[in-house]
Amino acid sequence: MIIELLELGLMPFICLFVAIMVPLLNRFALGRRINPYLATFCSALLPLLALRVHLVVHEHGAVTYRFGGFPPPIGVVYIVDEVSSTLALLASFVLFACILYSTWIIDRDRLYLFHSLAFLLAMGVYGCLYTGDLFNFYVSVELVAVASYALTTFNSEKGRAVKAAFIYGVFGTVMTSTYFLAVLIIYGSYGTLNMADVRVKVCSPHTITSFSSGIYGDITLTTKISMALITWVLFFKSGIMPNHFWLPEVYRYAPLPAVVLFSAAADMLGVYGLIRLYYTIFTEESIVGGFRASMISIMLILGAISTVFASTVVMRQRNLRSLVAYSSIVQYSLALLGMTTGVPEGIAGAILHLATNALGDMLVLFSAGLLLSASHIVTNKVMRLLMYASFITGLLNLFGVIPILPGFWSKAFLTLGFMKANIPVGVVVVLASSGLCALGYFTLIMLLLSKRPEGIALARGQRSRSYVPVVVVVITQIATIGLGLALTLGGFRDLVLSYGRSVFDRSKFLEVLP
Amino acid sequence: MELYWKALPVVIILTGHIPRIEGSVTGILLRVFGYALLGLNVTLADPFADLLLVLTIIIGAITTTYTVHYSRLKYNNLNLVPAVDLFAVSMILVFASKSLIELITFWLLTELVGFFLIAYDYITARSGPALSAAVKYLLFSMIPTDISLFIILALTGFTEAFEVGLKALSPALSHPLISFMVIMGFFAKAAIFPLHFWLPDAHSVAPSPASALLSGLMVKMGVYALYLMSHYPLNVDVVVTAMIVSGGFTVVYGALQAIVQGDIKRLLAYSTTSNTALIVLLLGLYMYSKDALFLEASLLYTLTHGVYKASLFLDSGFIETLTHERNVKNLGYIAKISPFETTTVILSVLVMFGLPPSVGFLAKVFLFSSISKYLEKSWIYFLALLIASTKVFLSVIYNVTYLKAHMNSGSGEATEINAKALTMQPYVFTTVSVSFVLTFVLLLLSYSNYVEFILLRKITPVLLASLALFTFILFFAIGLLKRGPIREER
Repeated sequence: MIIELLELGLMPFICLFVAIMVPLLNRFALGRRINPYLATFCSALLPLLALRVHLVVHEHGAVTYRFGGFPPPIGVVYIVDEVSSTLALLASFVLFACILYSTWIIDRDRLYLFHSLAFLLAMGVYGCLYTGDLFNFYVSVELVAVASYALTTFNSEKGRAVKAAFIYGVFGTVMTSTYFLAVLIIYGSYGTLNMADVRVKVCSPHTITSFSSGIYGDITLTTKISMALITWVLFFKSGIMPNHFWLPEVYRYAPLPAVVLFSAAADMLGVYGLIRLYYTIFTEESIVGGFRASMISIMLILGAISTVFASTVVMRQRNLRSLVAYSSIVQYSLALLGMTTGVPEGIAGAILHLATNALGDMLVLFSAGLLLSASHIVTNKVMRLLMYASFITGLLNLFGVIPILPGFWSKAFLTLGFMKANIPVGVVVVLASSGLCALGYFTLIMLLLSKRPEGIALARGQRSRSYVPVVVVVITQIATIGLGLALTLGGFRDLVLSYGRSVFDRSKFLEVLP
Repeated sequence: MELYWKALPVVIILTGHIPRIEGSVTGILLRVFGYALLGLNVTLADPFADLLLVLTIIIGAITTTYTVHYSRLKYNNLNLVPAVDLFAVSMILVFASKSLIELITFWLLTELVGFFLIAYDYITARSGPALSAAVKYLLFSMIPTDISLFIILALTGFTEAFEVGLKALSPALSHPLISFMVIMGFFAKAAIFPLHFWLPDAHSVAPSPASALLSGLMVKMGVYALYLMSHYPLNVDVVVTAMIVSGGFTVVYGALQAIVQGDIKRLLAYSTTSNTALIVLLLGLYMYSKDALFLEASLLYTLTHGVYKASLFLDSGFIETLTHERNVKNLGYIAKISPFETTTVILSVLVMFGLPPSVGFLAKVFLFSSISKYLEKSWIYFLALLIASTKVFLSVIYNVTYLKAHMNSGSGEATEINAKALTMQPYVFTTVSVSFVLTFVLLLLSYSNYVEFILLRKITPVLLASLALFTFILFFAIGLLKRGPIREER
């Protein structure tokens, strides 16, 4: 019997609560005073809840939450395994750091808007990660997308920001509508929107499940069409080439904490969705097994091309934000490659690599934001040194060199995955891309050491003496090095590997069905 | 316990870098002491690793002292010293590694620091060639080696990488493609064709002490990795063919290129590719014949070349700071300014040619003995003999070209001489003298049954006799020098 956990339902509810209350409270003077504290408090609560969920999942294998108590497939259900809970924990930590950092960097009068949008985005992220329902996934992706469009135009005095949001918005809507179409097609064929239910039917088409009975028509063709459409949409979501065009502009013009949210919490949903799609729902034993294998090969090739192309662009970058944007494209493509190997090591590598990217981007952007600001904190030599160290650590983490940093282990896992799957070319792609990106990273380090790189705007709201951003950077630094040390010294590697393996054990996932 | 033998010396070396005392005698002594303490990591289990470790320690200690003067004279600050030290220490820790994970960590660290050292002139003075050389190094040396290391890590498994000793590992490298990829990665490190072209640029743009370490020691890391590979289950045919063919080609190509270079540092860089390729050729023959004599030959040659290249790069740094000139065409008067230095350099060159009783003599003896021993067995050894002999005579030519920077009348005229550079002379001499001391250390080790240099015992009489002769000549030369600088009369 699967465990039902209230905290799962609580998390999106808290996000929604804050997102609604913050603008409402802003109408009152007292409300304006307590808004930042409310937002910070709730954003601190979320990682604790996510940790609790993660620990329960670690013990029991999977947990669930049925909205309204309705049994699936009638009701929407959240079902969480190790992969989901790990990524949700990561996203919670990122949200907390961003909310804290935003209190320093965003205009005080508009801070409430940022918080509201950030919590909406977080709600969408949790929805995507936790959900066990295809349509709910669509709703959550749409929520993330809408919040992202709004966050991109946050500094709307810049015309370029509006243009970036426009491109993102138009293409994003087209893409999510395509996903909607794919979901409709599945609904028409399978009679259900629940992931576990679809999985049962795609493996043995003549099953009759309660509430949604059997399939209708030729599900092979419709499944293939849906899979292809969803894969393309998820490529857009994670910015894998050739669907990456929106990403660099958005990263250039969105406010700094929003960029961190995108790169560390929101854009990884594409890769996560692909893992769910190909390893939980439409697996090797299903009737579309052959098609699935072809799709995975295509993803391997596209992922490899994306990695190499984006790496060559990173190589030439001198603007920090563009570098982070293209570097994120590279990291997501690498995570995609890890996912296509089909072995637990590869998937473990993919998840770890998403975490590496998140931590690395956080360190780089947060410390650079501080170093290039007019803040009085950085006139202090020790603080400056600390920020430089964090910046360099972040870039080294992304490069993946020293075993003390998680970046090394994610690359090692990816390599291991490729060797086990007998694709040595994959190893060359992974390491060649690291090397090419390294050029961009080192150029940026040298630029930072000699003069100020462009790309960080000094916002009006920056408070000169607040130590909050320093605290955020230090916490992230500790998290990065802590993770790295845990991987190097402890049994963390086996833990991560077990998460990779858990993807292949779908029985827990199926227990949710009545 | 082991950790302390590594951590404590590193802490001492770090203490020697405190800005107040970095350039003073205290700082230098602290650092040299730290280097000496690192010698405690000699395990007596693997002569190859141990001797490379000792070589790196000695050259590192000399270079750190040299860099203080060089850095002050060329850059007016001491910022180069910690970088060079970090580089040397991480290389020492590579050779002192017991497990695969240690090796990879320090290897990657060394490469990283190496990148910044090659790009040093870009960081300090925006020099375009420095950046492009560093980029070439990153793309064609760092990435291929990283690929090899990660493949080995993946095939070994993470737990074994932490626990099992380096030579006891057995990654499944037998597939020809995998073997080839791994070997190519280490060829890129050792600058063997086809991944050799990064080296001349990289080693000539780096600051001279960095070049000394890069050429003298870092390429030997590639050799060390190839030595470790010989213990693993490889596809021997692919590997041996690659080593002999590529190695053989690079030996001759590197030497030919060295002859036509005008820039002294580029000349030395090409000479490095040629010599390292010869070492790789010997290792290839070792894997082919399974006779340890080739291994000993390659080890001795490594030691010789390490000392030779380091001393010559230190000399090129001396010339560079003395005259601000690097082209042989515009030089030729060094002997007039500093005959001591010229004599040291001539001595170093003679060591490389095989002057007894230096370690160069041992290297040449072992080189030709090992090849000759198998001459009738296969045409491959005949080819190797041909290549080695060609290399020897080509090396005479390019070494003379180098010496022309010191002694070539009718060439350049001394314009601005920076006399402070003369302080760097003792270090070059110390480096050269190492090659003589090494012989007798090896002799002692051989007699104490630590290493199997059996051939060494047979030539002991020659060594002792030559030592006597050499000492006599030395005293005679000192007497000559005391009478005044050499005057060229044309």
